[in-house]
Amino acid sequence: MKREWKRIMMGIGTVAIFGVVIGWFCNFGMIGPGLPPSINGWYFPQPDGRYNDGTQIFANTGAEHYGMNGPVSRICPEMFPVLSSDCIQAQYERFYANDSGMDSHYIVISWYFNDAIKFSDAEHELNDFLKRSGTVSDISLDLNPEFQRISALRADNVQYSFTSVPVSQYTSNVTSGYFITYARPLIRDRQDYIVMYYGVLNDSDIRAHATFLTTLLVKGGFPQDPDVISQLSESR
Amino acid sequence: MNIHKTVVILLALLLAGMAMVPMVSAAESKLSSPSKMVNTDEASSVALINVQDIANSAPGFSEWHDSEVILSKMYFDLTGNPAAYAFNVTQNGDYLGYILISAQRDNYPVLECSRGHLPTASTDFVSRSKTKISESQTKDLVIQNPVPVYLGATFYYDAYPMTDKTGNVVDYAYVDLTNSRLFNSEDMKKEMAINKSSLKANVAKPVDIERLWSLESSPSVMASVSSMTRSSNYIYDVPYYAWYRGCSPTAAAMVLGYWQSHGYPNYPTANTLIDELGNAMGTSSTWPFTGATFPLFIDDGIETVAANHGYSGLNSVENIWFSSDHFTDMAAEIDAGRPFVLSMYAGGAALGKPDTYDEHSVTVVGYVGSLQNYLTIHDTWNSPPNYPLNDYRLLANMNWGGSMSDWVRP
Repeated sequence: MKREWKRIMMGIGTVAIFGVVIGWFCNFGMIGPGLPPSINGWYFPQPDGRYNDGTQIFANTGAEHYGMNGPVSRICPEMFPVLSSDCIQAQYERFYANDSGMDSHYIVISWYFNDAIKFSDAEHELNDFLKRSGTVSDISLDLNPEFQRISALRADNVQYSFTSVPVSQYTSNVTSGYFITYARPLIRDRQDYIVMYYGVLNDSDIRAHATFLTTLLVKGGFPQDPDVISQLSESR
Repeated sequence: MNIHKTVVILLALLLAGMAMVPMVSAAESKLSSPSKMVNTDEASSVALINVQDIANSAPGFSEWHDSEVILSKMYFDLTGNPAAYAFNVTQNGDYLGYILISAQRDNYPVLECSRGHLPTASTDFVSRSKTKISESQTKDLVIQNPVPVYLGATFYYDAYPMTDKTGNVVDYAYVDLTNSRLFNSEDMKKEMAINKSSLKANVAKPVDIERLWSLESSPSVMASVSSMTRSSNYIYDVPYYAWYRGCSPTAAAMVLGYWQSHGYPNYPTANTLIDELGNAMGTSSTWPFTGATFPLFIDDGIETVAANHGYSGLNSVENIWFSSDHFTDMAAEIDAGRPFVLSMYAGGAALGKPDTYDEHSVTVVGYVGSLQNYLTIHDTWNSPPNYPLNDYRLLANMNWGGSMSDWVRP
């Protein structure tokens, strides 16, 4: 009986070792998945074109004209806590003053994490900060008008299975906008986490800027799977 | 699939992998050897040669013709060895960009070139660095002027020596120039461990690097650089697709996406096409191989998708290369107007980029043949909506341990 048991254990061990060797061998020959170490910037809005002076612009944003203000920067603004060292931001502005002469300035920030705990801690830290410095509420942002308006401009014709996304809406005198998070958006077993912010600067009237903020969000693209998209987690 | 062929190729891959381990280790161990150092005169000469070379051959750099190079900064590594020389590219006093030349012979001569500015030339970055270091001021230690540190593309630091009352350097503090993060020595070691994969960006075949340095140190090259025979070609309208499902189907989709707008309209585009190719070439969707594709199935997958859309005449030909140089073959394919898929093992980084490709498929859309041969690629990492990096990349020929190409001939 004891000898029989030994034989079974040796058999299992041999199969396990063989499995590991075969697994390593198969993996060795494969190409991919081929993602970069960080996918920060993956969901950044891209201007559609340039004016003759080289200014980068967004097309089809209604009667007004918007463009990027300077290059994309790896230095995050000080208006929010330092959530991650892998952080990028870009600023945008309304190009031509309207009749009231009031230009508006916008910002998009992306924080990247490759660790679920760091991501969760950052979410809570950010949420705590937002509650102290302004007003936060979870809303469902309707994307349908933007999808209809700009889908014709997208080269890749991506079709989404959703028409609204959950976001955390933040308002304060310094900045107001939408936070949205993507948890493991490309490969479910790879640790990629992103917090995105789309906001207007120095304005608490988010309704006045909701259209362009939604445009920025849609132009950045979304993960195909709606389950990976959510607003900021509640504070602990 | 021919089983015998598969087994032979798998064994060859195994041997290639075993061969690559000592190759990488050897390259890393040579970094601090004094005999490998490049002096400023040599670096200046190499910079000038390459600026003219780039002006003649690289898309978008034609204004660098007849420009001058002026040494602007010298960078060091963490052990104090010279790492790189930065030269401003100027013409009649106007700044046109910069070129970074390695200060060590066991790295590629040209580390970066750009029409933009170095982080160390940004007053914003520099002032933030000074502000940050002032936060770490203590009573016992005096912060000295910073030493510029370069550890690979995008890894620029200021290293501040901290001296005690007797003037001895007892520690260093580091500030990441691009994001103003402050590190003490211990944190810097941890940061380097995290970034280890990125910092091997320029580790490549020593034999290629030695050939390049010997070529660029030759007096005859300097004299003949303006009249050298060069060749380059670029297929402009190959679409950019962002990574989706796996790099191999994404790279193949860019090739078929090109043919979709060149006489083969039945193909879908973007993610729909990538999904079809992923299914046809058996790209895995399950852990631990999620997104991985066995390279021998790439050509079969392309042919299957083509046939499914009514183009059964499409011929996809796989070429298995390990260490041999097939730049001429690849250039000929581009000259024929046919983009193709290149799959790499132990792939290095693109010019001026920090991240190595490792096991990765890309779409080759052009080439630059000159002192150093480059492939112009869409690497699936730089597509809309990935805005900050939306551009083609230049990958040094043979900057990989092994490779396979899949021609696509409709």
